[in-house]
Amino acid sequence: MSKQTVVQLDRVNKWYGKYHALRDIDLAVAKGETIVICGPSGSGKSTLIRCLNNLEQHDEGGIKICDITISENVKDIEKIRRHTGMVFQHFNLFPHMTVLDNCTFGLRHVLGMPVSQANEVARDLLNKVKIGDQEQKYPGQLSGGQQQRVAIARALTMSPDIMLFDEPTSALDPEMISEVLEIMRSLSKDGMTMICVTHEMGFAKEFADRIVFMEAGSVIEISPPEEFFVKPKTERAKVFLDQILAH
Amino acid sequence: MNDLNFTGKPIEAREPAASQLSINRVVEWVKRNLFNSWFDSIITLLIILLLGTVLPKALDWLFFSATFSGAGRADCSPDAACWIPIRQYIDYYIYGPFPESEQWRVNSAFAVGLFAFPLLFTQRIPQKIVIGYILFLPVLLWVLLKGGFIFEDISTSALGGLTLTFFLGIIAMCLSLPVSILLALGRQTKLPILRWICVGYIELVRCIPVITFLFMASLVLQLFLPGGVSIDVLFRVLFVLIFVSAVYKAEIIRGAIQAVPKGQIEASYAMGCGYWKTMAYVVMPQALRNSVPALISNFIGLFKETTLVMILGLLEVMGAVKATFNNAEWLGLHAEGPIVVSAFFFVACFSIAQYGAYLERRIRRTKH
Ligand SMILES: Nc1ncnc2c1ncn2[C@@H]1O[C@H](COP(=O)(O)OP(=O)(O)OP(=O)(O)O)[C@@H](O)[C@H]1O
Ligand SMILES: [Mg+2]
Repeated sequence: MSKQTVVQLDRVNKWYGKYHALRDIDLAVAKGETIVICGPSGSGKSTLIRCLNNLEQHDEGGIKICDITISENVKDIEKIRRHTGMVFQHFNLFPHMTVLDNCTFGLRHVLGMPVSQANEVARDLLNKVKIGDQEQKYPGQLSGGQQQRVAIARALTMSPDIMLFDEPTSALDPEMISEVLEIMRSLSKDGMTMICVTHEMGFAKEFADRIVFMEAGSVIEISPPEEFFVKPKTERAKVFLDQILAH
Repeated sequence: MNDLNFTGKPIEAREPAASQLSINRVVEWVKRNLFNSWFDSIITLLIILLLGTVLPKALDWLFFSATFSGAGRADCSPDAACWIPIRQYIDYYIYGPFPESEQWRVNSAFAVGLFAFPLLFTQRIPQKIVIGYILFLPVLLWVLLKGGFIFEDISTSALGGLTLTFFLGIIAMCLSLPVSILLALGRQTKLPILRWICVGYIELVRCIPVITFLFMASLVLQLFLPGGVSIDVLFRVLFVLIFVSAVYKAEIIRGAIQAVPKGQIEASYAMGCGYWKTMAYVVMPQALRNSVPALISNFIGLFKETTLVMILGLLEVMGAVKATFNNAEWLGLHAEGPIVVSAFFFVACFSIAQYGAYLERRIRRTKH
């Protein structure tokens, strides 16, 4: 492979009690790639993406992020988390902080950057997600789309190498979805490595380099979008696509 | 979202024009709220009757027929309040037996203590400074009122009245919150031994009456200490007040910690923040905000519990007032003392409650 591999999963397994949530997952993501993970509800998409920054712990196999292997070592895990930014379905902004303070949180408390410098970095990114004029508001005073844009800016402040998105538009009203997708598009264009769990097939068609289709804890297909949408390899993927595209 | 105009300031609701507030609307309000049904009407009439008979008598007893000045008991009417002893002993109620030449220290203590109040209300001063001041206040009060550092020592028996109430109340309030935060975190931690200690401590202490601990602090503790060593009774009383009320606060805070959504912690972890920083900057601030109403009630309760030290012979304001009414001259006046004490506690506790209400308003402003 010509490009550097930044995410490497090697036969990853995970159980919730007796429930086998991830089965032998193998995946390698190159720098700059945009990966879309899709699949029916309960297939393990969230579990997989949350294992990448150790919000969930996998039980077997290896996960390597930017050449750091996930282990019990807390320092390593914190390092991995600094290399990855995560955007959640429900934004998870800190409601007791202003938009600006949300975005300087990591810079101040994790990197120990002085406030004025942190504010500068954060303002720059808030402008990039077109929300610079709302920096003194609290998250509760913003619309869902605006909150999600702030959440993306907050994750970007740590200048991550990889961005993880877990259904970033699923909690949004339709008219706000596009404003968030637009930000994701420009990130993808700028060469950010992205792993997105999403049902936005339009985004997947246009920007994904590869699509990972999951079912019952296994990855059953990895194809470029032109193949996946036109000629899915499995019957299950075909049914899934029919269902999701029927809307 | 709020109604916002172009300057970004909330649009204020307009006052209705004065002419609209006519008699009609008053009548309308009275009809709707006081005489809505025959049952409402009866209740309203009964209350009016009750107030009509009791209120004039009460006001008469308290003020109109009451005696405010005079030489002694002989000047007082037996059918109305006699405020003469209150005026006579007011200095004693405030300063207790504190040496007169040192009373400026009490005044300074009141000043630095009450200064915390505007400090808590302002948003101009950085929070760190306010918290620092609150944590430093107990030391300041101890030095001013009890001595140490450059100040002459004052014997414990010289502390009394409002001075003592203030001393115990403020110090206990300032220190019990940090202790309770640590207890709540301890009860949440994954370290088993620490968790068991915290759980055991909380369960034990909250099932035993405070007054028992106060007795034990003064008597039992002495049994365990090697002969000759004694800890100042004020110190022991404070210890009990702080560590008992912290238990209730810890449970309030623990509940509020659990109510903080898991996603908040995950968002913080996902940025590489560790456990302690996540607790300090993400979880605790939200938990404390959510527990304001319950914590304020607890603070009010704690402030009033300072009256219990009376049983150890410490004459805080209630004890001081009671003592003066044991004077032969004023024997038999039962109501005046408690009324004055009630008035004082009401003012103090209502102020605490107002601070709580202010905090809630401030927190609400960050939502919607
Ligand atoms: N904390 C947990 N404890 C037990 N089971 C869990 C837990 N989290 C997830 N699961 C189970 O693991 C499976 C995969 O869950 P996951 O959230 O990864 O699915 P998903 O593909 O993200 O689904 P969705 O599209 O609904 O978000 C589900 O069957 C779920 O019930
Ligand atoms: Mg999911």
